[in-house]
Amino acid sequence: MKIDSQHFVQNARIALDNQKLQGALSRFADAFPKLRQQACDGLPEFRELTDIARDIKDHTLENLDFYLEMFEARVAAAGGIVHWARDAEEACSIVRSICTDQGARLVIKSKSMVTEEVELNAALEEAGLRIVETDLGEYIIQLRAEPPSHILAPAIHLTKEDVAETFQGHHHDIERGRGPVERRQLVEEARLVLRDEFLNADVGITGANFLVAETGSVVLVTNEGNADLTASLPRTHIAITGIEKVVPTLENATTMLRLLARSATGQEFGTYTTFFTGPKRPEDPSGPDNFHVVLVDNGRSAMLGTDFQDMLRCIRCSACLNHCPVYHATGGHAYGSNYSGPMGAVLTPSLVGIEKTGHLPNASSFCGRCEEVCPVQIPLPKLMRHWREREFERHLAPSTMRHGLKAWAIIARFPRLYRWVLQRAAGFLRSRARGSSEDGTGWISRLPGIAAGWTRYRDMRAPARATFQKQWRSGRGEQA
Amino acid sequence: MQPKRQSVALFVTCLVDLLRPRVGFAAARLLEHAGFEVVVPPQSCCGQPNYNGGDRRGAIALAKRTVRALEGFDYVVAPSGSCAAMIKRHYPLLLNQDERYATRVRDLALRTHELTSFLYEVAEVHSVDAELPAQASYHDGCSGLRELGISEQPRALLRTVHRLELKELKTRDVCCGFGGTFCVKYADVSNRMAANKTRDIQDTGAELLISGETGCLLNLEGKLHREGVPVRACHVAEVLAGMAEVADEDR
Amino acid sequence: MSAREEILKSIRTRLGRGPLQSAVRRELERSMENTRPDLLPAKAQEANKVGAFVERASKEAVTVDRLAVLENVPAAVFHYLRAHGLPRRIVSAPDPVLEGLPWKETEGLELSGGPLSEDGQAVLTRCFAGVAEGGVTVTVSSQQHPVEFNFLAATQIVILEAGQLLGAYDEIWARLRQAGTLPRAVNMLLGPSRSADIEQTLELGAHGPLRLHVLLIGG
Repeated sequence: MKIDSQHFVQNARIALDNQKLQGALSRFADAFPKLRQQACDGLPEFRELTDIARDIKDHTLENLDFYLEMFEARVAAAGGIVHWARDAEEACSIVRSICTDQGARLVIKSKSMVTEEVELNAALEEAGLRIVETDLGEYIIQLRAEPPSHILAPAIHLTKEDVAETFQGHHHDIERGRGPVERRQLVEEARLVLRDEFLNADVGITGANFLVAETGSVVLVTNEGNADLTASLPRTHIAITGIEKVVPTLENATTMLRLLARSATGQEFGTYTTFFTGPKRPEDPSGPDNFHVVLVDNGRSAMLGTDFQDMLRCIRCSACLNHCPVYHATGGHAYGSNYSGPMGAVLTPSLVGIEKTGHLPNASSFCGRCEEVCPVQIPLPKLMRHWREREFERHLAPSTMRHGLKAWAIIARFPRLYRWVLQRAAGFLRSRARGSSEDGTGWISRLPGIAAGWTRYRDMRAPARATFQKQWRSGRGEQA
Repeated sequence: MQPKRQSVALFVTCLVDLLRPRVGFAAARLLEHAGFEVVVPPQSCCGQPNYNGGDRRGAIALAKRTVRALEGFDYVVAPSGSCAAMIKRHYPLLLNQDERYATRVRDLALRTHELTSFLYEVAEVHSVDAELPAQASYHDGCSGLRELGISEQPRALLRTVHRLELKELKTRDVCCGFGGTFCVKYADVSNRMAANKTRDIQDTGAELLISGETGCLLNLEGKLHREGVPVRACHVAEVLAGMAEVADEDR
Repeated sequence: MSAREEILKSIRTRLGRGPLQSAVRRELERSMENTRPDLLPAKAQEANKVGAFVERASKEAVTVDRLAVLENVPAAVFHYLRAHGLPRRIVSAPDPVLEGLPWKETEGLELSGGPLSEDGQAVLTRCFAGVAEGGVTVTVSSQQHPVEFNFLAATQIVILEAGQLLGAYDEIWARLRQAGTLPRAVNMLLGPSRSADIEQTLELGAHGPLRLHVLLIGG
């Protein structure tokens, strides 16, 4: 997975200055929470379902070997093949072999975060295959050679004019009218172009929203129907996903589905939800002859039995991103990882290490909205805090912060020292105050060192001459 | 013979201690008015900066210190949802493995309350005797809201302040961008969050911003001042205690 | 060690144990045989399944036409195509029940053989069930229902008989388990194809059908 999280601060600044992006993000920040709230209000049992979903996931993770083995056996019984990939390279190698073994030239794909994670497209292109994304948002960013900026809505940062420009540069046989760009036209254009690809592809690659151990089924949810076309038209269907996606039974999968669309987009249910089991049956007029499932580890099993096990509950609904004020300010690209927002802040360090990704769990005010909306109750702020603890122990956090915190812990343990330090601080701040407003208060507009971050953007009212405890001890003055 | 008053240890929080002492006096006044004996035991920081900064050892040390400092009182009240939540929700997680502190910390967690929820739910104070002619908006601090369920209590009390008109912000439960050290470590992002709030405050037409969280108040007050927006910011304790208009003589 | 062995070993090591003992495995297998739903929401248990289905499907841009009997289908198809200004041509799924409908009685309606690879067609299929909980239409892949009938046409018309209506999604599995193994595809459809990928604004007909029309027979 390509990582650029070390540059979060710079990338965030660029994102904050990008007016177009900010316009898209503020529409998004306004709309998605309302939609989800409406959808949850429409299901009184929602909260209880999240308790059940959490328990299903926890139980599955505790018995993950059992359920994966059962899944594999049931896929085989249905006529499919399961492959196991320890890491990204192995996953790409497996998929590449399946494709080249059957002489495939054209591969179509529906959205899969795991394929981004393992960089599958590049690996297949290297092997001489042409690979086309069919999710409209993914297709657009594929043409633009950009990474996705949201796990569900990859092109959220683009305007229709951006899309029109991109299409113009790539679709050469389309007759276009003049006049302003209409979204409808763009969707129709994509439909037309991608239809050809659907009909001519040799291999269809999808992810999986869920794997069902009981039946060896792969569950795919889309609003476009592109996963169904991808999984049904070519003669080979490869589903690739993380080992944590398995749930025990069809009923368990149904519970998860009751939560997924509501949490993601505020819909009652996905427009297209399909349970795929094995290749086509002998009596089916159409469907793939070959069905493969690639189970990817790539750091997931290493999360079991650690502080971060709960992160494996994630069903990739994106509710946390949709409610995160940091994500709303910066968008997904600033995180420098395929997985952004709160879930990315916890998962990315788990997969690639905290050394380069420290900014992600630190760039949070711990407002807690993510945990509040997570349909499987992942304690995201707590997990981010655990990452901060790892960093602190390993001296990866900036040293000023480390030393400052250690000093503070010492100061605050000794009440007289603490009172003395606060009193000095009050004096120091008062000395920085300039001018006065109508009520005689001084304001501070420049602070040194780490506190400069405060005064870069806001002022601070100068404090009173004496701290509260000093005033209280010296006789209960009712002064400021 | 008068019944002995119950004791409340006022845990003022370091931000109030250093930057906004009047909040502490307002809280004390409210608690005394409600019939409690208010004590301010020698105290320091609850340890949140260390806890959220990944310094677990430092946080544990400060938690122990705070547990000891706040023992022996019927209640502990803090004019802050985040500090009350630190004690109620997180101290047990830090100390429940420690034999010497496990019981004491659970006991402290039960006795500790945020100010407005204490007044409303424990002391059963449902109205105050204060007047403040102003159009105001209340901002919910995230910890208080999500960890302690504090939302209706301060509003119910504020509605009894004579001539105070409460208008809700569109983004009333969206984070203001303070987040402790977050606001200096990720200043650009924090600034955007603060600016979104100040815009909402202006759109709502409020002339006064009220919050139960000093960190949020300082953040928004400072941003409003930098933007030249003439909206004042007060802590809910100051408003309820009738101390919102007190001139800051000792400046 | 194969990748499979390594991954399973990694899982077990991290969970602090070896492979599960056979007693534990049997217990897990046994509890999987309990196929009760985890939780049935109230909206999955309403008495008026027809009303609930129609209301919920309609909210998601599914149009529903109530017919008294199956024989009225060809006329209903004709009316629908005409009302939407579409060519009066329908590709019917290779289902003997559909083939046996009184097509000749409806003048002006052409039964076409496709091919579905050409865009802009209208298709007619039956279905496996409807689910009142969400207004969802369920189809399964079979000889009578090639899977592309759900996805390649521009207009999809589905015949749903009132007796096929289920309350909850879970009932789909109860019914399919009776048949033995699952088919290649069990599709749960709630509306025409859509995307909000451009400027977060919903547009229909992203890849799949622009229109999903349900002919609800009886009830």
